[in-house]
Amino acid sequence: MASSSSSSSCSSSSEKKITLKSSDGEALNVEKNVALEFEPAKGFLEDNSEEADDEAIVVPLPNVSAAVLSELIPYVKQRLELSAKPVQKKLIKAFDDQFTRHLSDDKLGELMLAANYLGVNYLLDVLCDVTADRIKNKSVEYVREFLGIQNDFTPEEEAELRAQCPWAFEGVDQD
Amino acid sequence: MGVLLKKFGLGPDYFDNLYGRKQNPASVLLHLRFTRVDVGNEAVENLLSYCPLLEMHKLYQLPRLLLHLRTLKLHVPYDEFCCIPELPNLKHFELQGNIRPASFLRVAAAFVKACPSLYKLTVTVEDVTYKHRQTMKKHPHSSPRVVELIGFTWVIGEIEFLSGLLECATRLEKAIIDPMEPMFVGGVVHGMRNQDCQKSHILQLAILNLEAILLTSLQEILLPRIAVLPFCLENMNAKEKETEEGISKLPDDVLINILSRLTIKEAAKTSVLSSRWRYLWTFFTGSLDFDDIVDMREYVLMSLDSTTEYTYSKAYLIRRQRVLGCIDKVLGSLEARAVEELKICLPINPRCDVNNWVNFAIRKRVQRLELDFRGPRRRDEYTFNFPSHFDIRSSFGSLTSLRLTMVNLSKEALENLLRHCPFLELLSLSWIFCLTSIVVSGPSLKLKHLQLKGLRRLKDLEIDAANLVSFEYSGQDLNNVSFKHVPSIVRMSVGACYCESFVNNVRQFPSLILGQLRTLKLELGIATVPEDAVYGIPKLPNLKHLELAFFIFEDRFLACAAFLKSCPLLHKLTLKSSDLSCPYKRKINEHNPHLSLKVVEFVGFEWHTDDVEFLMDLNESATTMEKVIIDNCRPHYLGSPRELLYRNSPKYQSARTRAMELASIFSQLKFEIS
Repeated sequence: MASSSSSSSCSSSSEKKITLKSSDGEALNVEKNVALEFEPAKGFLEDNSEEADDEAIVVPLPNVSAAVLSELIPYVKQRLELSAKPVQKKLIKAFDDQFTRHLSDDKLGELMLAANYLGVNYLLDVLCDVTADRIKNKSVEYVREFLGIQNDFTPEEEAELRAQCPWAFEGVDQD
Repeated sequence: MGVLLKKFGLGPDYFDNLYGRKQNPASVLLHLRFTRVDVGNEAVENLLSYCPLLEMHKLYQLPRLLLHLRTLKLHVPYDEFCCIPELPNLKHFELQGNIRPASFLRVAAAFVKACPSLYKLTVTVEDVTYKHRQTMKKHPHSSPRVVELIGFTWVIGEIEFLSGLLECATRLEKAIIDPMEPMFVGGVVHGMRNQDCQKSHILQLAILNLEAILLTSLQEILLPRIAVLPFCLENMNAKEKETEEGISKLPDDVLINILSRLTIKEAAKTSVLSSRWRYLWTFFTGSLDFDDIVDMREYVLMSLDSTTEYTYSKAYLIRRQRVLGCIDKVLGSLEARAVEELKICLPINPRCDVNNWVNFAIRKRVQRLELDFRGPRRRDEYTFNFPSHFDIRSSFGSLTSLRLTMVNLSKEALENLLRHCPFLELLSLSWIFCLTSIVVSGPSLKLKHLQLKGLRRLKDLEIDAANLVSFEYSGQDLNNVSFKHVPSIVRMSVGACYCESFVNNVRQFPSLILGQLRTLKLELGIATVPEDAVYGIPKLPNLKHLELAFFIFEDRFLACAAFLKSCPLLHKLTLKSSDLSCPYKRKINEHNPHLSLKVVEFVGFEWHTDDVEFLMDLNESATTMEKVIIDNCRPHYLGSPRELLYRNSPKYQSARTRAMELASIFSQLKFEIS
């Protein structure tokens, strides 16, 4: 851990830092290559490319909280380092698994919204996989709760829909 | 006196007003001369916009102008373009038209080629009704990063045009899609599009099509970058979403991404979640597996020794009927342009429209197709004749893996498949009784894995596949086997009757291939192989993993000893045996003083004294041995409904207990006992 932090600090002198401003007004300093992974930041930096001093640029990200950003940034940074090397897909998968294994359901949702807004599609794919895994073989009620869906069907309508594909509603695990 | 031109636009209205009558602006453009016009370093915006019949040879007279051009918008009703001068600084090229597609594509191709620093390409389609396809050649040094598509309705012609276009776009980062018809863009209707269901439907199609095209036509170039391809979809889900929270706040494409990772059964279930989810599942792009509803619990076993293999529970049979009935309905309701996999593993009946399933797979650019119509009983099975030609003009280029079991596949149909599936990597054919000869050959064949099993009438086999990595054959003895050119082969698996003749005649087998092998699996079964044949096995200098499966094979330890002698670099040895015990007569350590074996796996051994003695000798000869893996289930029960039953039998339990005891005898080895 100590060695990795020292190596990042010595590389930071050559690498430019960008300031991201979260929805709750916090300013986070990140390497420019990490910031460029975020679509809105990338667009913002392109539009403001005339500015000579990158340090002076503050990129507003009004849809992401500082808490979520501070989880995303180390992930993206490590993922960038991994994909820069000719590593096996297995290693990236293991890294993704480690990142997602202990995510709470709420955190999963927040990260997905952020990944979608920021256009970090590789993370979004991983999170979609986790979500699919967590709603597999669960009851309709459980899935609604998990995904935050407001049911706007009447019981009669729902029964009719169920009757349309009876094969889909057999054998559900306990929630 | 020079003029510094910064921005210049010409529209049809401009010419109308200028001349007071409807005139073809193109003719005006013909008389337009730029003389003594100096262009600064600033961008020239919208130059020559709305100039039908843009005469590029006229533009040739303006090299200085073109040199600085950054944005160019063309409206092209004709296809009079041949050569386009280089536009070194062009960043954004916009093409709009209502033209014959072949030329449309040619114009786009020519521009992409002429613009080495092109960043964004916008294509606006007004009306495309074309039939033929023309592909673009790749220009790796001039490829746009952003492609914007306006007015595409995703009819076949447009998709083909787009796949040709995107094939060149090796550096593509972003695709922007606006399904609005160009004539409405910016108008009142444009603002109302959020309420327009049909448009959002088109948008859905757009995403899925784009994904499909990128997946199928750009397999090698684009696949690794798919993940970073953000689709900027305008106002896609602008409808009210205040009532939703958490993951539901995400746009539809992400929700479709989630449900495409479920089974089709699970995905269909989401239709009752809410009205928003009602039809989302129909955009499913994942793996369509109509086998997933059957599991081991569905079988009713008589007993381990009964003659009938197994039978099904009544409830299962009813459900199977229901699943068969719903396949067509499900396939018919899927809207996605592409589906990853179609797998139907059920005994079919004459009412099944299998042709429709195959056509679905072609239409939806399926990557993996598996049809397995085996049932528990052979006699009342109905089979299906695989079509010997496809009802399509283009190829089945998406297919990478094809598995057919109990399907009537003729020689012509197989040839057709190999010809029309240029990206096929895995071909598995089982229980196909009409094939008498198979020729797998072709200079551009991508085939990596070939598996043939139970092809009862097969006599001749010819393989000429430069990319073939693994070959599996299990079945009748063959009259002619010919490997013409298989430089990549490293894995081979041989079983059933052919295995006996393979071992007997192994000296005649091309030594070049044997020398390349890293993995060899032999299913000796009931073969009787004379001793001298076993000892006549040539050297297998590169073999790392050897698997030998015996059923009633006479002297399995003899075969082991002989093979170990021939494989100096063997790393892993797997032995599969049935319950029959076998005397251990010839000591292996007499033949093999030095082995480099690290892992030994035993499947189905019951650990009689002879077996234990064999393991002791093996351990003595192979000082490098680290690990022993033991599974006491009989190999031929594995994966069949009998497995569960056997694992509960006293015979299995006592074998397992003996295996556990072994672990304490060989304390220096690591044991894995399942």
